[in-house]
Order: sequence, then C-alpha cells, then structure tokens
Amino acid sequence: MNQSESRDTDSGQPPIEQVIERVRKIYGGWTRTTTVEQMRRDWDDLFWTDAFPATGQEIFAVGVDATWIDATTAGSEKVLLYFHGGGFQVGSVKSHRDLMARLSAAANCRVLGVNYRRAPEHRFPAPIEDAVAAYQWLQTQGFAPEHIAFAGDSAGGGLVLSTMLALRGKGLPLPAAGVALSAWTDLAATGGSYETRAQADPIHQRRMILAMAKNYLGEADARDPLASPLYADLRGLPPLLLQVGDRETVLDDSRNFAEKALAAGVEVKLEVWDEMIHVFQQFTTELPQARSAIESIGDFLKKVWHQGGTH
Amino acid sequence: MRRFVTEGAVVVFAAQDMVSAQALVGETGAVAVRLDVSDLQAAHYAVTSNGPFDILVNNAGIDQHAFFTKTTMEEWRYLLAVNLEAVFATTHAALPAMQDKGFGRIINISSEAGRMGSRGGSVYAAAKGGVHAFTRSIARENGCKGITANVVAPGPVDTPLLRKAVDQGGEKLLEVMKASTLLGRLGTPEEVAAVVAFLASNEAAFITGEVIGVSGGMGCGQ
Repeated sequence: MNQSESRDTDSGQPPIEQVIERVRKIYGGWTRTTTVEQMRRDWDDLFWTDAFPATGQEIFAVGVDATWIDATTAGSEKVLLYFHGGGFQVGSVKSHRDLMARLSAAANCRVLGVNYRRAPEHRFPAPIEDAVAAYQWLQTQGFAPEHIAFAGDSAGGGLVLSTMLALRGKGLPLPAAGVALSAWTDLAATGGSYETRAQADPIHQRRMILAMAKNYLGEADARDPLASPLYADLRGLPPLLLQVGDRETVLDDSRNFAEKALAAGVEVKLEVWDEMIHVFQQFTTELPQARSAIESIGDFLKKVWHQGGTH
Repeated sequence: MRRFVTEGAVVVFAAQDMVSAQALVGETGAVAVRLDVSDLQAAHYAVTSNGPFDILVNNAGIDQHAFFTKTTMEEWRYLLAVNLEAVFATTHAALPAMQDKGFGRIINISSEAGRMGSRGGSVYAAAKGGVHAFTRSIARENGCKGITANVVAPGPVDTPLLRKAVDQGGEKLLEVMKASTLLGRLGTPEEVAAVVAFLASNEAAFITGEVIGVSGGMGCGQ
C-alpha cells in the first residue's frame, strides 16, 4: 500500500470519507466466488505497511505461530499479546503490522502478534486455543502474567475477552489488562446498534456479520459464552479498555459488554469515538483520531504497568 | 539441535526455511525464529530478544564453489556476511548476559577449509579462518569471566549442503572428499553434534580458544 503521511485532501473529502472509499474498493471487488485466500491477500495488501519503524521477527514454538514486533528503543519486559481482527477468517500479523508497531511505541512494550488458526479451515474454539498457547508460551519465556496484557480488534477484540474467560475457566493466572478495539462480543448480533447504525456503517451489516459468525462457529451456539463473551459471567476479569466508533453496527457489542462488566465489578473504561468506523485505529495516516486513540491505549497500558502515563 | 534437546537444553534455533523449521519444532519442542543471518541487525536482535543464552552455537554457513578469479565482489560480501560477520553479530548480542552471569559457552562451527584453505572455496576459507581468529580473541577477552569459546571444524560431512555440491560437481567430487580424510569416508552430522555438545558441557570447562577438527583427520598436523 502506498500511503503518504500527508493528510492533505486532493478530493476535498473529509479524511474519514477517504478511508471509507479505500476500504470499499477492497470489499466491493469481492463476489460470491472470491476465494478466502484471495480475501486474505487483499486484506494484507490493504493494511500492510512497514513505514513505522519496528523490528519484526517470526517465531514458531509448539502450537505457536507468532511475530514479535518491537518499536521500543531499549526493549521491554512488558508484552502486549495481540490478536488481529478479520472475522476469524482473514487478517494476519501482516495486515496488522502497522497497528502493532504503533502500539509497541505508544505503550513502550514489545508486541507479540498471534497468527491464530482461522476459519473455515479451523473453527471455534481453535483461535482461543492458539491464544492460550501463545500466552502460556510467553510465560515459559520468562514473562510474568502481570507483565502481559492482551489487545485485539474486532474478532480479535472478542478473542481478548474469550481467552481471558478460557484462562479463568482453567484456573490459570490472567494477564494484567485487556484492550479491545471495536470488539465482536456478541456473535448472535442482538445489539440495537445493528439497526440504529446500519445506515452509518459503510461496511458491516448484520447479515454479513451473521454469515461470518456461522463460518466461525460451525455447529457451535452463537451464545456460547466462550464464542460470545457478552453472555459470560465476567467476574474477576482484569482492567479493560474498550474503544469503539459511533458509526459501527457493532457499537453495542462494546457498550453492552462494558455495562455488564461494570456490573460484574470489572474495572472497565469505554471510549466511544464520534464519527469513527470499525477499527479506525488502523488508519493512522488519514485519521488524527486513530493516532489519539492509540495514544490513549498507550497511556492505559502504561498506567496498568505503573510506568506513568502522559496524563 | 536435536542433540541439545536430548541433553535437556532449552533450545532456540534460527532458520530461513520455516517449513522444515516448523517440522523440527513439532519433533523437538524447540523454538524456531525466522532469520537470514546475512541481515546482521536481525541476527543481533534474534539473540537479544530471545535470550539470555548460556550457550551460543553459530552454525550458519554457505559456500559457492568457484575459482577465485571467477568470483565477484558481491559474492565475497555475501559469503563474509553469512560465514563471518553473522558470528560477530550474534556473539556481540550474547556476550553481555554471559559476562553478567559469569558463565558462557560459545561454539562456532567453521570448516577444515579455515585451516587448510580450499581449492574453489577461497573466500569461504578466508571467512572460516576469520572465525578461528575471532573465536580465539573472544576466548582471550572472556576467559576471566567464565566464558569459553571454541571452534569445531568439520571436514566433509554428509549434509544437504554437501549433497548439493556433489550434485553440481559430480560423483568424482564425492570420492575426492572421502579420500581427503584419513578414514576415507564422510562424517555424519551426529559426529559433529557430539563434539559441540561436549564443548558445551561441564566436562569441557577447561577447554577454550581451540579449533577442534571433526574431519576424519583431514586437518592432521594443522
């Protein structure tokens, strides 16, 4: 992707509309016969850039396929374990390299991006198993749970929460915190925002989201609390930061989850960003809000890790 | 690699070919990182980010069979990067933690070519000879810190690299290689691994700055 750091508009459109146009071009080219491999390539091409300086290193351990992304200058004993989005079907550490690099810099920590197994080849709960394996591997590498936080976007945001629930279920120690961007927490898609934001959301309509859910779930129940953390008992989860745009059909996946988490005694911070679309943090080149949101994540994580925030 | 896993070491290994690396991960439980050691910064980072290490084995190597006048400067640079400079990078990255701990084992795999020279492998031999001098220097600088540094210099060993050379150079080359050893045969990877494992062990604590041939006597008297 050839991006310029300049935010000057050649079309006179607001930056958010330019972003929407760019994303639409990709989705608009897909038809019923587009293969999942093609969609994965298109996604990687749409989002990939190595403009932001960071070291990358692929690692393989038993059950773990991941990439270290490190934009810190002095290294760090803190790790953000990152789960990319893409409906559990597309997306990779390649498509999310830029976002992970920027998070590494903002939170002054290393990022380990997980290439979890994807549907339809691997359905629920394969991604959760891979996320747990990556987290356990980090601990064998000497990273203590209190030095690890989870983050993810969309399906990966749901995975942040599902993985915590899976760990709690096994009686394993939880990470220090979780950050979920435009999280997909309700695979039954029951939130009111599927109606109220249907016009405003340029891409994600309920029908498409339910099809993605089915593709991931196979025969599993959409209300299985591990597949849809909105339906889980949320007691005992660590501090959470949820960011979501106001132009998203999945807005209520975050709002409803935050409400439920608060009621369960979880320390949860919900940020709803005006005029922003699904995982707007991926468009730092065009959107100042994306950069601010990433800063906010950095501050949240630094505070959790007692490194002192900028606010 | 397999030998170290058998001995109970926690192993991180670097490889370029991730398909075979993943198979090895599945077989041994070791951790693989993708690395092209000619990228020196990446080689340095691979060690600092996965360490600290007690044992460092540098075994990446590449040869191109050509008489010296047929080689290009570009080829020299690449051969030197992989065979020599990468050893600088990983050693530079691994040493500080070893010095802090007061323990370390550095084992560099070179070649008898580094002692004897090589017909059709001049730059390779120069790089490997450089590894010998470098290793001895590291041994001198770090002996007082409980760190040993040694070279294992194999002769002709039955590896994919050798098979590739034979495919290109013909069966006659194989016979020449066998005849170059006193024992008249190729070595096995396991025979090299045994010496590397020995040098990493406590039993080898008093050995440092050595170049040990595992070559069927090819370097006898060198």
